Amino acid sequence: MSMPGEPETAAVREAVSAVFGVGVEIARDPWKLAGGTMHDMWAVDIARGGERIELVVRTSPRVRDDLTVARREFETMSESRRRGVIAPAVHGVGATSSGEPYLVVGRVQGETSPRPLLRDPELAEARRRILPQLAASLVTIHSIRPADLDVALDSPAPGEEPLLAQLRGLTLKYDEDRLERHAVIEWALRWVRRQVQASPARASEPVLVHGDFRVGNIMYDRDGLVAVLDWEGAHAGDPLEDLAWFCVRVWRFGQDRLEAGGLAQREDWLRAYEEASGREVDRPRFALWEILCNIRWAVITLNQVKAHIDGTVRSQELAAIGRRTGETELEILRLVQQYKDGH
Amino acid sequence: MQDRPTADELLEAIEEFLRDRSKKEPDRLLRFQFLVASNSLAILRREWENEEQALEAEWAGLGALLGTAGRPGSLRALRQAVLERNSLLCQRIGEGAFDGEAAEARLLAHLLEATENKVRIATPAALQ
Repeated sequence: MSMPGEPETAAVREAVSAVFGVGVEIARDPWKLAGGTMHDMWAVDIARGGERIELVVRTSPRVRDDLTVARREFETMSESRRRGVIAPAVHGVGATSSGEPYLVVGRVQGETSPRPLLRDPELAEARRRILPQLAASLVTIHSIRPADLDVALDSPAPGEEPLLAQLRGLTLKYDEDRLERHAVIEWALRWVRRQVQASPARASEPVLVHGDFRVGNIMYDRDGLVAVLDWEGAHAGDPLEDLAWFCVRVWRFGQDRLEAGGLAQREDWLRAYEEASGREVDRPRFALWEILCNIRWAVITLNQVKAHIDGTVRSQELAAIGRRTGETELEILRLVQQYKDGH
Repeated sequence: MQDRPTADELLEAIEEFLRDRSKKEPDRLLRFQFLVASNSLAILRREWENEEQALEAEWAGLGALLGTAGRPGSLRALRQAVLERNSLLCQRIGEGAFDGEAAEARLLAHLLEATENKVRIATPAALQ
């Protein structure tokens, strides 16, 4: 049993003091929330000038010194929220005296679990409302230019098409992570590159891209969207990437006929974005992005099974994910066929 | 010869046990782990049933694309040979051997068949 003031919560208290001042009054001691594999998530309440502030403090004991990523999250979340994206309030970022990065955000009430959102009858209204809310969030995120931010973003090389930059990075990851060679992935990487080279996109300046925008990374309640979460992958790129990642088959959580996150048809999703942005979505380009995003997920499954096999994280769950590469390869082949049929 | 249960029956027994635990377990994360484990056993049962047939088909498909070769005798040798021929196929893909329209169509037909056979064992629901 962990008591207040013990080392486990020391980082949380230090973060809160650094952000709100040394004399800040803790109204409710920190308690642990379900977190990710790299981070610990803590809830804590403070009192300031008669006002109670409910917080989430994320500490990252396993990614010490990776303050750059936390700062980038802070900046991208702050600027997005300032422009109207529904995201948690961001209070502070930094590192503790022992070098543990932390991020302090406002605590919001809601659910993130995908399956109820996609299925529960009492969430029908939330499902109806959330699609335009998500589209509007993306349009606002995509209105931010890298120069608007105080941090550097990972960006395509000058003049490089974002899709090719992403493809280059994925090829490197694939070469690093594969335990055996995958003909579907190697062929698809080559095929997408050849399509892009045959018809380069109109030049456009890279914008802020969320990078992991999907069901599971959004918080909802009965009224719809409560918060856009998980900004660690934010980078500069093409808006189509966020639209396409949202449609990757694995993020439909079994509602496969509704390509947009198990919530709506792909075409309804693209129309919602067009309505919110007033700009037309380039359908063939989007199709290439969706194929590339599925390749990205396939490569992530290779990375996860490798983490098990090489002993980084022994886990039967990670091992089992290795057998899910095939269904993603099948999706890639189906999407390529659809693309060819449409040409 | 082993006595009953057969390997398949034994796997099925463990699979049923884990599936049952996954339903009754109060802890959400453990429930998920039991479900993953029972699914993995179901994969193994399908693999032992269908692996040889799937490898035969893949071997034939690779032969049609890369030139035929003598089929190794044992299942273990066939598995290794398919792995090596897949590497060779990847190398040819990288060299542009399947960039032409007709070659690409032949390659895609093979990849689709091999992937469907793989998925039929690993996650058959994805075939629907």
